[in-house]
Amino acid sequence: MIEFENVSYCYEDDKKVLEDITIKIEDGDFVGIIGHTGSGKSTLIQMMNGLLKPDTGTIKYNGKNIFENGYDLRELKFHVGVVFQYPDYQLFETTVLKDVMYGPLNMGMTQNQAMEAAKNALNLVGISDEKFKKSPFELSGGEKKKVSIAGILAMNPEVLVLDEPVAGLEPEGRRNLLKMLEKIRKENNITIVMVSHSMENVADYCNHVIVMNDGKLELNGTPEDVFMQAEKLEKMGLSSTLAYYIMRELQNRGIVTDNKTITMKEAYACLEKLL
Amino acid sequence: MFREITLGQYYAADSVVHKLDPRVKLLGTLIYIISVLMAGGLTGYFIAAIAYIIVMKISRVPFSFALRGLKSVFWIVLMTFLCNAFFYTGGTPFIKYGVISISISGIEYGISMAVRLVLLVLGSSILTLTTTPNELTYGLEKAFSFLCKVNVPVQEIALMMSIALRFIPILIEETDKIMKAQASRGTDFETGSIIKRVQNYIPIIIPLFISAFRRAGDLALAMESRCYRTGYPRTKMYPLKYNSTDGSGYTVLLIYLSLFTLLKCVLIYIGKTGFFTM
Repeated sequence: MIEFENVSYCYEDDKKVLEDITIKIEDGDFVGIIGHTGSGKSTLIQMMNGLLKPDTGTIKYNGKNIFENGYDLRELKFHVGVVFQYPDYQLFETTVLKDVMYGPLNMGMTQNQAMEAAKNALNLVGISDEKFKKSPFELSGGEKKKVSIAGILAMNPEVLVLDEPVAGLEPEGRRNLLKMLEKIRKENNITIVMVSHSMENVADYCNHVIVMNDGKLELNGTPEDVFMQAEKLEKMGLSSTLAYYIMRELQNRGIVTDNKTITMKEAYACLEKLL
Repeated sequence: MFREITLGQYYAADSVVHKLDPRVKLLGTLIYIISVLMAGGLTGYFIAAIAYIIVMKISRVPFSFALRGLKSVFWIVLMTFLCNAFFYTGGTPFIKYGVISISISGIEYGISMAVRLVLLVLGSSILTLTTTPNELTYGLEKAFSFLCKVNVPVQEIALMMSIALRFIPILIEETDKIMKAQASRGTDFETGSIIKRVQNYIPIIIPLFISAFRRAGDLALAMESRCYRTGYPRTKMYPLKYNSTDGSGYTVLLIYLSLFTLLKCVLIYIGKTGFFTM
Protein backbone atom coordinates (compact mmCIF):
# COMPACT_ATOMS: atom_id res chain seq x y z
CA MET A 1 0.00 0.00 0.00
CA ILE A 2 1.34 3.40 -1.00
CA GLU A 3 0.09 6.49 0.82
CA PHE A 4 0.73 10.10 -0.14
CA GLU A 5 -0.06 12.59 2.62
CA ASN A 6 -0.18 16.31 1.73
CA VAL A 7 2.67 15.93 -0.71
CA SER A 8 3.97 19.08 -2.42
CA TYR A 9 6.89 19.52 -4.78
CA CYS A 10 8.44 22.58 -6.46
CA TYR A 11 11.11 23.07 -9.08
CA GLU A 12 14.03 25.31 -8.20
CA ASP A 13 12.31 28.33 -9.72
CA ASP A 14 9.41 27.80 -7.30
CA LYS A 15 7.13 26.50 -10.00
CA LYS A 16 4.68 24.20 -8.26
CA VAL A 17 4.65 20.73 -9.74
CA LEU A 18 2.61 19.00 -7.07
CA GLU A 19 0.33 20.70 -4.61
CA ASP A 20 -0.98 19.04 -1.48
CA ILE A 21 -1.58 15.57 -2.88
CA THR A 22 -3.21 12.99 -0.63
CA ILE A 23 -3.89 9.61 -2.17
CA LYS A 24 -3.94 6.00 -1.12
CA ILE A 25 -3.11 3.09 -3.40
CA GLU A 26 -4.45 -0.16 -2.02
CA ASP A 27 -2.85 -3.55 -2.53
CA GLY A 28 -4.06 -5.40 -5.60
CA ASP A 29 -5.55 -2.32 -7.25
CA PHE A 30 -5.18 -1.45 -10.91
CA VAL A 31 -4.74 2.32 -10.69
CA GLY A 32 -4.94 4.65 -13.67
CA ILE A 33 -3.44 8.13 -13.55
CA ILE A 34 -4.66 10.55 -16.18
CA GLY A 35 -3.91 14.20 -16.77
CA HIS A 36 -2.66 16.72 -19.25
CA THR A 37 1.03 16.84 -20.21
CA GLY A 38 2.82 18.68 -17.39
CA SER A 39 0.11 17.99 -14.84
CA GLY A 40 2.54 16.28 -12.48
CA LYS A 41 1.86 12.64 -13.33
CA SER A 42 5.50 11.75 -13.94
CA THR A 43 6.62 13.54 -10.79
CA LEU A 44 4.00 11.62 -8.86
CA ILE A 45 5.18 8.21 -10.04
CA GLN A 46 8.83 9.07 -9.52
CA MET A 47 8.01 9.63 -5.87
CA MET A 48 6.50 6.18 -5.51
CA ASN A 49 9.91 4.49 -5.54
CA GLY A 50 11.77 7.32 -3.89
CA LEU A 51 13.50 8.81 -6.96
CA LEU A 52 12.16 12.24 -6.02
CA LYS A 53 11.73 13.54 -2.52
CA PRO A 54 8.73 15.76 -1.83
CA ASP A 55 9.37 19.24 -0.37
CA THR A 56 6.64 18.76 2.19
CA GLY A 57 4.36 15.89 3.12
CA THR A 58 5.09 12.21 3.60
CA ILE A 59 5.03 9.13 1.41
CA LYS A 60 4.48 5.79 3.08
CA TYR A 61 5.01 2.33 1.71
CA ASN A 62 3.28 -0.37 3.73
CA GLY A 63 2.87 2.10 6.57
CA LYS A 64 6.51 3.18 6.75
CA ASN A 65 7.71 6.67 5.80
CA ILE A 66 10.14 6.07 2.93
CA PHE A 67 12.11 9.27 3.50
CA GLU A 68 12.74 8.59 7.15
CA ASN A 69 16.38 8.19 8.20
CA GLY A 70 17.49 4.60 7.88
CA TYR A 71 14.86 3.58 5.34
CA ASP A 72 16.54 1.62 2.53
CA LEU A 73 15.49 3.47 -0.61
CA ARG A 74 17.44 1.13 -2.87
CA GLU A 75 15.59 -1.83 -1.41
CA LEU A 76 12.29 0.01 -1.98
CA LYS A 77 13.00 0.10 -5.72
CA PHE A 78 12.85 -3.71 -5.79
CA HIS A 79 9.39 -3.65 -4.23
CA VAL A 80 8.00 -0.74 -6.22
CA GLY A 81 9.17 -1.21 -9.80
CA VAL A 82 8.89 1.81 -12.07
CA VAL A 83 8.93 1.36 -15.86
CA PHE A 84 9.64 4.61 -17.67
CA GLN A 85 8.06 5.67 -20.91
CA TYR A 86 11.04 5.24 -23.21
CA PRO A 87 12.70 1.82 -23.20
CA ASP A 88 15.78 3.38 -24.87
CA TYR A 89 16.71 4.94 -21.55
CA GLN A 90 16.99 1.55 -19.97
CA LEU A 91 18.34 -1.01 -22.45
CA PHE A 92 22.11 -1.29 -22.53
CA GLU A 93 23.27 -4.91 -22.43
CA THR A 94 24.56 -7.06 -25.27
CA THR A 95 21.62 -9.45 -25.20
CA VAL A 96 17.96 -9.21 -24.23
CA LEU A 97 18.35 -11.85 -21.56
CA LYS A 98 21.35 -10.14 -19.94
CA ASP A 99 19.53 -6.85 -19.94
CA VAL A 100 16.55 -8.29 -18.09
CA MET A 101 18.93 -10.00 -15.66
CA TYR A 102 20.43 -6.65 -14.67
CA GLY A 103 17.77 -5.82 -12.05
CA PRO A 104 17.69 -9.28 -10.43
CA LEU A 105 21.51 -9.32 -10.24
CA ASN A 106 21.43 -5.94 -8.51
CA MET A 107 19.05 -7.47 -5.98
CA GLY A 108 21.77 -9.97 -5.11
CA MET A 109 20.43 -13.03 -6.95
CA THR A 110 22.93 -15.57 -8.30
CA GLN A 111 23.48 -15.85 -12.07
CA ASN A 112 21.20 -18.88 -12.28
CA GLN A 113 18.43 -17.37 -10.20
CA ALA A 114 18.63 -14.16 -12.19
CA MET A 115 18.49 -16.04 -15.47
CA GLU A 116 15.48 -17.98 -14.25
CA ALA A 117 13.71 -14.78 -13.19
CA ALA A 118 14.58 -13.07 -16.47
CA LYS A 119 13.31 -15.96 -18.59
CA ASN A 120 10.06 -16.06 -16.65
CA ALA A 121 9.56 -12.32 -17.00
CA LEU A 122 10.31 -12.39 -20.73
CA ASN A 123 7.88 -15.24 -21.28
CA LEU A 124 5.29 -13.38 -19.27
CA VAL A 125 5.48 -10.30 -21.52
CA GLY A 126 5.44 -12.49 -24.64
CA ILE A 127 9.05 -12.39 -25.81
CA SER A 128 9.88 -15.78 -27.26
CA ASP A 129 13.02 -17.77 -26.47
CA GLU A 130 14.71 -17.24 -29.84
CA LYS A 131 14.96 -13.51 -29.12
CA PHE A 132 16.81 -13.96 -25.81
CA LYS A 133 20.21 -13.88 -27.48
CA LYS A 134 19.43 -10.93 -29.72
CA SER A 135 20.75 -7.45 -29.04
CA PRO A 136 18.03 -5.33 -27.44
CA PHE A 137 18.78 -2.62 -30.00
CA GLU A 138 17.74 -4.86 -32.88
CA LEU A 139 14.20 -5.20 -31.55
CA SER A 140 11.16 -3.31 -32.76
CA GLY A 141 9.72 -0.47 -30.66
CA GLY A 142 6.99 -2.67 -29.19
CA GLU A 143 9.41 -5.44 -28.34
CA LYS A 144 11.79 -2.99 -26.68
CA LYS A 145 8.90 -1.79 -24.56
CA LYS A 146 8.06 -5.34 -23.54
CA VAL A 147 11.70 -6.07 -22.68
CA SER A 148 11.87 -2.94 -20.56
CA ILE A 149 8.77 -4.04 -18.67
CA ALA A 150 10.27 -7.51 -18.26
CA GLY A 151 13.39 -5.85 -16.85
CA ILE A 152 11.30 -4.56 -13.97
CA LEU A 153 9.01 -7.59 -13.68
CA ALA A 154 12.03 -9.87 -13.27
CA MET A 155 12.67 -8.18 -9.93
CA ASN A 156 9.28 -9.50 -8.87
CA PRO A 157 7.95 -6.18 -7.53
CA GLU A 158 4.87 -5.92 -5.35
CA VAL A 159 3.82 -2.72 -7.08
CA LEU A 160 4.39 -2.20 -10.79
CA VAL A 161 4.32 1.42 -11.90
CA LEU A 162 4.22 2.15 -15.63
CA ASP A 163 4.54 5.51 -17.39
CA GLU A 164 2.41 5.32 -20.55
CA PRO A 165 3.04 1.64 -21.21
CA VAL A 166 1.00 1.52 -24.42
CA ALA A 167 2.16 4.78 -26.01
CA GLY A 168 3.57 4.13 -29.45
CA LEU A 169 2.12 0.64 -29.76
CA GLU A 170 -0.30 -0.46 -32.46
CA PRO A 171 -3.86 -1.33 -31.32
CA GLU A 172 -3.21 -5.05 -31.12
CA GLY A 173 0.00 -4.51 -29.17
CA ARG A 174 -1.89 -2.26 -26.79
CA ARG A 175 -4.58 -4.83 -26.16
CA ASN A 176 -2.05 -7.61 -25.64
CA LEU A 177 0.06 -5.58 -23.28
CA LEU A 178 -2.90 -4.48 -21.17
CA LYS A 179 -4.29 -8.00 -21.05
CA MET A 180 -0.89 -9.23 -20.00
CA LEU A 181 -0.71 -6.63 -17.21
CA GLU A 182 -4.15 -7.62 -15.98
CA LYS A 183 -3.11 -11.27 -16.02
CA ILE A 184 0.08 -10.59 -14.07
CA ARG A 185 -1.85 -8.54 -11.57
CA LYS A 186 -4.31 -11.33 -10.91
CA GLU A 187 -1.86 -14.24 -10.97
CA ASN A 188 1.03 -12.68 -9.06
CA ASN A 189 -1.32 -10.67 -6.87
CA ILE A 190 0.48 -7.37 -7.44
CA THR A 191 -0.63 -3.75 -7.60
CA ILE A 192 -0.39 -1.89 -10.89
CA VAL A 193 -0.23 1.86 -11.35
CA MET A 194 -0.44 3.07 -14.93
CA VAL A 195 -0.16 6.54 -16.41
CA SER A 196 -2.17 6.70 -19.60
CA HIS A 197 -3.56 9.13 -22.13
CA SER A 198 -6.20 6.68 -23.24
CA MET A 199 -9.44 7.12 -21.31
CA GLU A 200 -10.71 3.87 -22.82
CA ASN A 201 -7.76 1.84 -21.55
CA VAL A 202 -8.15 3.32 -18.08
CA ALA A 203 -11.93 2.73 -18.03
CA ASP A 204 -11.51 -0.85 -19.27
CA TYR A 205 -8.82 -2.02 -16.89
CA CYS A 206 -8.53 0.18 -13.82
CA ASN A 207 -10.58 0.07 -10.65
CA HIS A 208 -9.17 3.31 -9.24
CA VAL A 209 -8.66 6.47 -11.27
CA ILE A 210 -6.59 9.50 -10.29
CA VAL A 211 -6.99 12.70 -12.32
CA MET A 212 -4.23 15.30 -12.10
CA ASN A 213 -4.44 18.88 -13.32
CA ASP A 214 -1.78 21.58 -12.86
CA GLY A 215 -0.19 19.67 -10.02
CA LYS A 216 -3.44 19.29 -8.15
CA LEU A 217 -5.49 16.20 -7.49
CA GLU A 218 -8.76 16.93 -9.30
CA LEU A 219 -10.63 13.64 -9.17
CA ASN A 220 -9.92 10.45 -7.29
CA GLY A 221 -12.23 7.47 -7.26
CA THR A 222 -13.70 4.60 -9.22
CA PRO A 223 -13.76 4.86 -13.02
CA GLU A 224 -17.55 5.33 -12.85
CA ASP A 225 -17.19 8.31 -10.46
CA VAL A 226 -14.55 9.90 -12.64
CA PHE A 227 -15.79 9.34 -16.18
CA MET A 228 -19.36 10.39 -15.37
CA GLN A 229 -17.98 13.92 -14.84
CA ALA A 230 -17.40 14.60 -18.51
CA GLU A 231 -17.65 18.41 -18.29
CA LYS A 232 -15.07 18.60 -15.55
CA LEU A 233 -12.70 16.38 -17.52
CA GLU A 234 -13.20 18.44 -20.67
CA LYS A 235 -12.33 21.64 -18.82
CA MET A 236 -8.96 20.08 -18.00
CA GLY A 237 -8.32 19.27 -21.64
CA LEU A 238 -9.23 15.62 -21.11
CA SER A 239 -12.40 13.78 -22.02
CA SER A 240 -14.64 10.99 -20.90
CA THR A 241 -14.75 7.70 -22.77
CA LEU A 242 -16.23 7.22 -26.21
CA ALA A 243 -18.80 4.77 -24.82
CA TYR A 244 -19.97 7.39 -22.32
CA TYR A 245 -20.50 9.97 -25.07
CA ILE A 246 -22.37 7.53 -27.29
CA MET A 247 -24.67 6.49 -24.47
CA ARG A 248 -25.19 10.09 -23.40
CA GLU A 249 -26.25 11.00 -26.91
CA LEU A 250 -28.62 8.03 -26.99
CA GLN A 251 -30.00 9.13 -23.63
CA ASN A 252 -30.53 12.69 -24.93
CA ARG A 253 -32.52 11.25 -27.79
CA GLY A 254 -34.58 9.17 -25.38
CA ILE A 255 -33.36 5.82 -26.62
CA VAL A 256 -31.79 4.71 -23.35
CA THR A 257 -32.62 5.82 -19.85
CA ASP A 258 -30.19 6.42 -17.01
CA ASN A 259 -26.70 6.44 -18.53
CA LYS A 260 -24.04 5.03 -16.23
CA THR A 261 -22.03 3.39 -18.96
CA ILE A 262 -18.36 4.14 -19.41
CA THR A 263 -16.92 1.12 -21.21
CA MET A 264 -17.70 -0.31 -24.63
CA LYS A 265 -18.45 -3.68 -23.06
CA GLU A 266 -21.17 -2.22 -20.85
CA ALA A 267 -22.54 -0.13 -23.71
CA TYR A 268 -22.66 -3.22 -25.88
CA ALA A 269 -24.52 -5.20 -23.22
CA CYS A 270 -26.95 -2.34 -22.66
CA LEU A 271 -27.70 -1.91 -26.36
CA GLU A 272 -28.04 -5.65 -26.89
CA LYS A 273 -30.90 -5.66 -24.39
CA LEU A 274 -32.67 -2.96 -26.37
CA LEU A 275 -32.53 -4.87 -29.62
CA MET B 1 20.49 16.35 -10.71
CA PHE B 2 22.45 18.44 -13.20
CA ARG B 3 20.28 21.51 -13.21
CA GLU B 4 22.82 23.66 -11.38
CA ILE B 5 25.12 24.00 -14.39
CA THR B 6 24.66 27.47 -15.85
CA LEU B 7 27.67 27.47 -18.15
CA GLY B 8 26.19 27.79 -21.59
CA GLN B 9 22.75 28.64 -20.26
CA TYR B 10 20.82 31.52 -21.62
CA TYR B 11 18.79 33.75 -19.31
CA ALA B 12 16.09 35.56 -21.26
CA ALA B 13 15.65 39.21 -20.27
CA ASP B 14 15.06 42.51 -21.99
CA SER B 15 18.26 44.50 -21.61
CA VAL B 16 20.86 46.48 -23.54
CA VAL B 17 23.39 43.72 -23.00
CA HIS B 18 21.07 41.12 -24.48
CA LYS B 19 20.48 43.29 -27.56
CA LEU B 20 24.15 43.97 -28.24
CA ASP B 21 25.64 42.43 -31.35
CA PRO B 22 27.23 39.11 -30.36
CA ARG B 23 30.51 40.27 -31.91
CA VAL B 24 30.66 43.13 -29.41
CA LYS B 25 30.07 40.68 -26.59
CA LEU B 26 32.69 38.29 -27.96
CA LEU B 27 35.28 41.07 -28.04
CA GLY B 28 34.07 42.19 -24.63
CA THR B 29 34.67 38.73 -23.22
CA LEU B 30 38.12 38.67 -24.78
CA ILE B 31 38.95 42.10 -23.33
CA TYR B 32 37.63 41.07 -19.94
CA ILE B 33 39.77 37.93 -19.96
CA ILE B 34 42.81 39.99 -20.97
CA SER B 35 42.17 42.47 -18.17
CA VAL B 36 41.75 39.73 -15.55
CA LEU B 37 44.94 38.04 -16.73
CA MET B 38 46.74 41.38 -16.73
CA ALA B 39 45.71 42.10 -13.16
CA GLY B 40 47.80 40.28 -10.62
CA GLY B 41 46.62 41.85 -7.40
CA LEU B 42 43.57 42.70 -5.37
CA THR B 43 43.05 46.23 -6.69
CA GLY B 44 43.04 44.98 -10.25
CA TYR B 45 40.60 42.20 -9.39
CA PHE B 46 38.46 44.70 -7.55
CA ILE B 47 38.19 46.89 -10.65
CA ALA B 48 37.38 43.85 -12.79
CA ALA B 49 34.76 42.73 -10.26
CA ILE B 50 33.15 46.19 -10.29
CA ALA B 51 33.05 46.07 -14.10
CA TYR B 52 31.41 42.64 -13.87
CA ILE B 53 28.80 43.84 -11.38
CA ILE B 54 27.95 46.89 -13.50
CA VAL B 55 27.45 44.80 -16.64
CA MET B 56 25.39 42.27 -14.69
CA LYS B 57 23.18 45.05 -13.31
CA ILE B 58 22.59 46.37 -16.82
CA SER B 59 21.93 42.88 -18.15
CA ARG B 60 19.17 42.27 -15.56
CA VAL B 61 20.34 38.71 -15.01
CA PRO B 62 19.91 37.90 -11.31
CA PHE B 63 23.24 37.34 -9.53
CA SER B 64 21.94 34.21 -7.88
CA PHE B 65 21.41 32.72 -11.33
CA ALA B 66 24.91 33.56 -12.52
CA LEU B 67 26.54 32.45 -9.26
CA ARG B 68 25.04 28.99 -9.62
CA GLY B 69 27.53 28.40 -12.42
CA LEU B 70 30.32 28.70 -9.86
CA LYS B 71 29.19 25.58 -8.04
CA SER B 72 30.52 23.36 -10.79
CA VAL B 73 33.99 24.94 -10.65
CA PHE B 74 34.18 25.17 -6.85
CA TRP B 75 36.51 22.16 -6.53
CA ILE B 76 38.79 23.41 -9.28
CA VAL B 77 39.07 26.79 -7.55
CA LEU B 78 39.77 25.10 -4.22
CA MET B 79 42.40 22.82 -5.75
CA THR B 80 44.06 25.78 -7.47
CA PHE B 81 44.28 27.62 -4.19
CA LEU B 82 45.57 24.64 -2.22
CA CYS B 83 48.16 23.63 -4.82
CA ASN B 84 49.55 27.14 -4.97
CA ALA B 85 49.44 27.62 -1.20
CA PHE B 86 51.15 24.31 -0.42
CA PHE B 87 53.61 23.85 -3.25
CA TYR B 88 54.64 27.40 -4.18
CA THR B 89 58.42 27.50 -3.96
CA GLY B 90 59.09 31.17 -4.73
CA GLY B 91 58.73 32.67 -1.26
CA THR B 92 60.34 32.06 2.09
CA PRO B 93 58.35 29.22 3.69
CA PHE B 94 57.34 29.42 7.34
CA ILE B 95 56.28 25.77 7.25
CA LYS B 96 58.31 23.23 5.34
CA TYR B 97 57.58 19.52 5.39
CA GLY B 98 58.81 17.36 2.53
CA VAL B 99 57.43 18.74 -0.71
CA ILE B 100 54.99 20.96 1.17
CA SER B 101 56.15 24.49 1.72
CA ILE B 102 53.78 27.18 2.89
CA SER B 103 54.80 30.78 2.53
CA ILE B 104 53.04 34.13 2.64
CA SER B 105 53.74 34.73 -1.04
CA GLY B 106 52.46 31.23 -1.81
CA ILE B 107 49.17 31.90 -0.04
CA GLU B 108 48.91 35.26 -1.75
CA TYR B 109 49.55 33.64 -5.07
CA GLY B 110 46.95 30.97 -4.31
CA ILE B 111 44.31 33.58 -3.45
CA SER B 112 45.25 35.53 -6.53
CA MET B 113 44.83 32.50 -8.81
CA ALA B 114 41.55 31.47 -7.19
CA VAL B 115 40.07 34.96 -7.54
CA ARG B 116 41.30 35.09 -11.12
CA LEU B 117 39.58 31.81 -11.93
CA VAL B 118 36.31 32.92 -10.33
CA LEU B 119 36.37 36.19 -12.28
CA LEU B 120 37.17 34.38 -15.52
CA VAL B 121 34.26 31.99 -15.07
CA LEU B 122 31.84 34.73 -14.03
CA GLY B 123 33.02 37.15 -16.72
CA SER B 124 32.74 34.70 -19.57
CA SER B 125 29.36 33.49 -18.32
CA ILE B 126 27.92 36.95 -19.10
CA LEU B 127 28.37 36.11 -22.76
CA THR B 128 26.46 32.86 -22.55
CA LEU B 129 23.86 34.22 -20.15
CA THR B 130 22.88 37.07 -22.44
CA THR B 131 23.47 35.52 -25.86
CA THR B 132 21.51 32.61 -27.28
CA PRO B 133 23.69 29.82 -28.66
CA ASN B 134 22.50 30.69 -32.15
CA GLU B 135 23.46 34.34 -31.86
CA LEU B 136 26.79 33.30 -30.45
CA THR B 137 27.49 31.02 -33.36
CA TYR B 138 26.50 33.69 -35.90
CA GLY B 139 28.76 36.10 -34.11
CA LEU B 140 31.68 33.69 -34.18
CA GLU B 141 31.02 32.84 -37.79
CA LYS B 142 31.01 36.52 -38.76
CA ALA B 143 33.98 37.41 -36.58
CA PHE B 144 36.12 34.65 -38.08
CA SER B 145 34.77 34.74 -41.62
CA PHE B 146 38.03 36.25 -42.84
CA LEU B 147 39.58 32.82 -42.27
CA CYS B 148 37.52 31.53 -45.20
CA LYS B 149 40.13 33.08 -47.44
CA VAL B 150 42.73 30.64 -46.15
CA ASN B 151 40.35 27.70 -46.66
CA VAL B 152 39.23 27.29 -43.07
CA PRO B 153 35.68 25.87 -43.16
CA VAL B 154 34.32 28.56 -40.83
CA GLN B 155 30.70 27.90 -41.71
CA GLU B 156 30.96 24.18 -41.04
CA ILE B 157 32.77 24.72 -37.76
CA ALA B 158 30.09 27.21 -36.74
CA LEU B 159 27.39 24.71 -37.61
CA MET B 160 29.08 21.96 -35.61
CA MET B 161 29.38 24.34 -32.70
CA SER B 162 25.76 25.38 -32.75
CA ILE B 163 24.66 21.75 -32.92
CA ALA B 164 26.95 20.80 -30.05
CA LEU B 165 25.65 23.69 -27.94
CA ARG B 166 22.10 22.77 -28.79
CA PHE B 167 22.66 19.18 -27.69
CA ILE B 168 24.21 19.89 -24.29
CA PRO B 169 20.97 20.58 -22.39
CA ILE B 170 19.23 17.71 -24.18
CA LEU B 171 21.95 15.26 -23.23
CA ILE B 172 21.98 16.52 -19.65
CA GLU B 173 18.26 15.96 -19.38
CA GLU B 174 18.61 12.56 -20.97
CA THR B 175 21.36 11.55 -18.55
CA ASP B 176 19.02 12.43 -15.72
CA LYS B 177 16.25 10.27 -17.16
CA ILE B 178 18.58 7.34 -17.84
CA MET B 179 19.99 7.52 -14.32
CA LYS B 180 16.48 7.40 -12.92
CA ALA B 181 15.52 4.45 -15.11
CA GLN B 182 18.61 2.49 -14.07
CA ALA B 183 18.30 3.51 -10.40
CA SER B 184 14.84 1.96 -10.59
CA ARG B 185 16.57 -1.30 -11.46
CA GLY B 186 18.82 -1.00 -8.45
CA THR B 187 21.96 0.63 -9.87
CA ASP B 188 24.07 1.72 -6.95
CA PHE B 189 25.99 4.92 -7.62
CA GLU B 190 27.24 5.50 -4.10
CA THR B 191 28.92 2.46 -2.63
CA GLY B 192 31.62 0.04 -3.71
CA SER B 193 35.22 0.35 -4.88
CA ILE B 194 36.18 2.93 -7.48
CA ILE B 195 36.27 0.28 -10.24
CA LYS B 196 32.87 -1.02 -9.23
CA ARG B 197 31.47 2.51 -9.27
CA VAL B 198 32.87 3.19 -12.73
CA GLN B 199 31.32 -0.08 -13.88
CA ASN B 200 28.01 1.07 -12.47
CA TYR B 201 28.05 3.95 -14.92
CA ILE B 202 28.17 1.65 -17.97
CA PRO B 203 24.36 1.27 -17.95
CA ILE B 204 24.17 5.08 -18.11
CA ILE B 205 26.82 5.70 -20.76
CA ILE B 206 25.60 3.14 -23.30
CA PRO B 207 21.98 4.36 -23.61
CA LEU B 208 23.31 7.93 -23.66
CA PHE B 209 25.64 7.22 -26.58
CA ILE B 210 22.98 5.32 -28.46
CA SER B 211 20.51 8.13 -28.04
CA ALA B 212 23.11 10.72 -29.10
CA PHE B 213 23.87 8.76 -32.26
CA ARG B 214 20.20 8.33 -33.02
CA ARG B 215 19.58 12.04 -32.54
CA ALA B 216 22.53 12.91 -34.73
CA GLY B 217 21.21 10.60 -37.44
CA ASP B 218 17.72 12.08 -37.23
CA LEU B 219 19.11 15.60 -37.38
CA ALA B 220 21.28 14.80 -40.43
CA LEU B 221 18.26 13.32 -42.16
CA ALA B 222 16.10 16.34 -41.35
CA MET B 223 18.80 18.69 -42.63
CA GLU B 224 19.31 16.72 -45.82
CA SER B 225 15.61 16.59 -46.53
CA ARG B 226 15.68 20.38 -46.37
CA CYS B 227 18.55 20.36 -48.87
CA TYR B 228 21.31 21.40 -46.52
CA ARG B 229 24.66 21.38 -48.28
CA THR B 230 28.03 22.42 -46.95
CA GLY B 231 30.37 24.78 -48.67
CA TYR B 232 27.79 27.05 -50.26
CA PRO B 233 27.34 30.71 -49.45
CA ARG B 234 24.36 31.00 -47.15
CA THR B 235 22.15 33.93 -46.30
CA LYS B 236 20.77 34.51 -42.85
CA MET B 237 17.22 35.01 -41.70
CA TYR B 238 18.38 37.75 -39.36
CA PRO B 239 21.71 39.06 -40.67
CA LEU B 240 23.92 40.69 -38.08
CA LYS B 241 24.08 44.47 -38.45
CA TYR B 242 25.77 46.95 -36.17
CA ASN B 243 23.75 49.83 -34.74
CA SER B 244 24.65 52.81 -32.57
CA THR B 245 24.48 50.85 -29.31
CA ASP B 246 27.09 48.47 -30.63
CA GLY B 247 29.32 51.47 -31.41
CA SER B 248 29.00 52.70 -27.84
CA GLY B 249 29.65 49.16 -26.67
CA TYR B 250 32.95 49.01 -28.52
CA THR B 251 33.87 52.46 -27.19
CA VAL B 252 33.20 51.48 -23.59
CA LEU B 253 35.24 48.29 -24.05
CA LEU B 254 38.19 50.16 -25.52
CA ILE B 255 38.09 52.76 -22.74
CA TYR B 256 38.01 49.96 -20.15
CA LEU B 257 40.96 48.17 -21.74
CA SER B 258 42.98 51.37 -22.20
CA LEU B 259 42.44 52.54 -18.63
CA PHE B 260 43.24 49.11 -17.27
CA THR B 261 46.42 48.86 -19.33
CA LEU B 262 47.41 52.41 -18.44
CA LEU B 263 46.97 51.71 -14.73
CA LYS B 264 49.03 48.54 -15.00
CA CYS B 265 51.78 50.34 -16.95
CA VAL B 266 51.91 53.17 -14.43
CA LEU B 267 52.12 50.68 -11.56
CA ILE B 268 54.90 48.79 -13.30
CA TYR B 269 56.69 52.07 -13.99
CA ILE B 270 56.60 53.25 -10.40
CA GLY B 271 57.39 49.71 -9.24
CA LYS B 272 54.27 49.20 -7.14
CA THR B 273 52.97 45.95 -8.59
CA GLY B 274 52.16 43.25 -6.09
CA PHE B 275 49.47 41.31 -4.29
CA PHE B 276 47.63 44.36 -2.94
CA THR B 277 47.83 46.47 -6.10
CA MET B 278 47.86 44.77 -9.47
